[in-house]
Amino acid sequence: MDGPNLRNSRYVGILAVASCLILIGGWLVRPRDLPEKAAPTPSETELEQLARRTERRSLDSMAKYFARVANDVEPSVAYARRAQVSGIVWDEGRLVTSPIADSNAPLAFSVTTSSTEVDGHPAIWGPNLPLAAVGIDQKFLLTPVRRATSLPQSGEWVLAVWRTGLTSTFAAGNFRQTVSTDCGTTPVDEVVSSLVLVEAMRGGGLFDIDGQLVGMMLPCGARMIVVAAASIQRILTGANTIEQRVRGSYGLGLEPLSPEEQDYFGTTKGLLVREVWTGLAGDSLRAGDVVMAVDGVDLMTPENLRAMTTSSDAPVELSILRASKRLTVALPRIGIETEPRATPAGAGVTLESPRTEYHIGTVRPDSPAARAGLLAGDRVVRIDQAEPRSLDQVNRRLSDDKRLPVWFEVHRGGRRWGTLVR
Amino acid sequence: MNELTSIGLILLLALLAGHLVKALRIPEVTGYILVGIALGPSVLGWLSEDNLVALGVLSEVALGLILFSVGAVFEFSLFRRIGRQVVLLTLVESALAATLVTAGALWCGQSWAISLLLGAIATATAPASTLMVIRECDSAGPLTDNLLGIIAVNNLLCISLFGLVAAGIDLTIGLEGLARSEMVYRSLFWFSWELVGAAALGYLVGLLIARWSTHVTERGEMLILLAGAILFCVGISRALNLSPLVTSLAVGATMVNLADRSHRLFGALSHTDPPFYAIFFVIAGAELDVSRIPEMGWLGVVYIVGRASGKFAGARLAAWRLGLDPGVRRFLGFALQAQAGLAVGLTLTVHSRYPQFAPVVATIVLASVAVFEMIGPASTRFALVQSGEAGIARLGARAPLSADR
Repeated sequence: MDGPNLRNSRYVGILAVASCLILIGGWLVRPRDLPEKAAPTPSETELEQLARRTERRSLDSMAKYFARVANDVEPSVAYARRAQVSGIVWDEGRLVTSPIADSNAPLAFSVTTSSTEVDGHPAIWGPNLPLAAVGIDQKFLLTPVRRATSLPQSGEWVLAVWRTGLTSTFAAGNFRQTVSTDCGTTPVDEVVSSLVLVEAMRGGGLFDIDGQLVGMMLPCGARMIVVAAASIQRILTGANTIEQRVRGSYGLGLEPLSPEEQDYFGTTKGLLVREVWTGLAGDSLRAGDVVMAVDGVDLMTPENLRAMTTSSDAPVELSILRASKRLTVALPRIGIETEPRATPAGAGVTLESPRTEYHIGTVRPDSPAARAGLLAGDRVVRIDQAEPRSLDQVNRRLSDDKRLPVWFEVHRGGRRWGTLVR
Repeated sequence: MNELTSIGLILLLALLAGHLVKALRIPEVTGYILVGIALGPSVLGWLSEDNLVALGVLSEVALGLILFSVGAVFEFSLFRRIGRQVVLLTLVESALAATLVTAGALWCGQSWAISLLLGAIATATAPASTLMVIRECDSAGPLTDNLLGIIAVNNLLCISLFGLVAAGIDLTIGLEGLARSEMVYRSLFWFSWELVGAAALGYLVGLLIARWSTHVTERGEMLILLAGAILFCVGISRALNLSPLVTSLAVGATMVNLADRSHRLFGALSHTDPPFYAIFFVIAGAELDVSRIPEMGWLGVVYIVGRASGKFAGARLAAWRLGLDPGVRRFLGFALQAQAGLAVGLTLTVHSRYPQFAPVVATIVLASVAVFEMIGPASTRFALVQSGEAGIARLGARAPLSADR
């Protein structure tokens, strides 16, 4: 069966040698660069394009990251429509914004992108302050800003976020340093960055890339600067005058009595509680109380209030005159360095059962009420220290000229405010 | 699933499926492939892609063994008898299939390059499943002899044709940064190296085994010798960029002519390799992605119809011209339909050499392989049974490539 010629060892040997030669020769003369064909080396231009594209992509993702941070802090950046400034939700009851010309006008703030508007009233302001603090009713549950505990390193990215109406805008820059500067009579730390500050940024915040507040864009004299968050906190807790500090910390507006008020309240001493901000430490007082003494020291001038702003753990004891009766009220003491806090539950909180509310419908121009500053829409809290019981009673009191003067305590925005109608 | 579990599962389920499909008069191979499809990632997912990669070694061993067995068809005396007609049959059926597929692809609006690549790939007939069906049917006779010869020559022809088409494409589209002469050299070198180098290596390994086998008497030792040689051979082929298919074929061809007791060697093999083959076909089935069949579109239908009719008509025409038996004339075309590993392998080559043509070629070839791999073995079995050659080997006549003599 097997062909003998195939078994011939000479043929077999020749074939074997030929095979070896084919394999060795072929392997030697094979085209060398073929394996590299699969992975072509990129050219110089391709490499450069690749690098550029990578850089471009990282820039894109950086911009995306900034947008995300701006979006995160947005709930803490508010906008005052009428005043056309931004504001920062400093804590649960307070917004910080740029100085407001008309301290008595209610300010409507839009917070977050929803069109919900919150009424606020200036709590701290002053001719020499680069900012104003605005009290807000706590029921709106705003998101307080997170404040940076330390300043960014020089060269780190910072993000200015502000609002124009409902839309928020951001700009990124690099932090450089802080320098001390004076705004009027107020010394502040100014944050210097590569950002160009424009008028539209007024009241907006400067954030680090973790979304923590570094400072705020506020006017300082004729120019706009970024005031460091620590300086803002210092202004809030230790405002220029003692009255402002008491207003900022306790939410109490105290003023000397006018001669008519001295007649009405039957005292020449003491300071009249003009307004009470709800939710702050002085919440348990009424507009219309006269503070006679602080910690047993008679009040002669606002300077005597200083005891309220010293740092101590002991509560501050106020001796007050309310409806011709002497009372003593203890308030938690809020020093300059301590953060303002809301009234703790159970301490000085008066729970009121729901009752009929009496709102002022209209105020006739040039009437005593108009002169006294009452506004349509104010809710009447007390008249001559007594809560209104019926519409008849309220009307009777108001229509009878002979019963003047009358002390009106009304609720307006986030505060109770009192005035003498004569 | 770890590898041992999957191998065990493959073997047991393959056996079970083989029994089941036998009752339906379908070849066991088809049962194995169906089990593979069911277990594979495209259906049940019991065999993950990782499993398939790990089991790929077994698959290559099996393919090496199969081609080694097929190589026995080049036994000098046998080939002298039927060689001329086998070559002619192969040429005609391959040429007709390639022509029809190429023309159909052009008609479908494909480029020359894609059409020619598809035409070249269409010529391949799966040696493994065809050989398995022949063994399973215990067939013997002129149809079987011609069929064995054709599957051996066909694969050489397909590789050559693909090499020529690839060389032509290289010349036309060119390679960046290469001179034309360099390109011609490169194309022709790899084309001939794959074939001639593989034949040379196969001859050397075959010679080694043939000489060594004279000192080996036990069947177990013989198996060790064979398995070692074939694994070595496939491994070296891969390292040298040779065609493992051609190398294994050449080892078989050398062995059958030079070894004194070659048929004992082949017989020893055929008693031991069925598990490998079962694994081979199950893996082949698992790698088929049946979900691609609907993706092939009209071009796929044209490819399948063109290839099937080309092989069928080509075999019939050539057999008629050669004046072969009526059985061969009528049924040879049916027996040539299976298509598998080589076509997939060439698709991978297209993928690495001409990525721009790969999506079309891969979709069409892989989808049609799924079709041909399922109907091919059944078609081969039909041909063997209808021609009356099935079961002849069991009756004592010469069994192809397996029985001792």
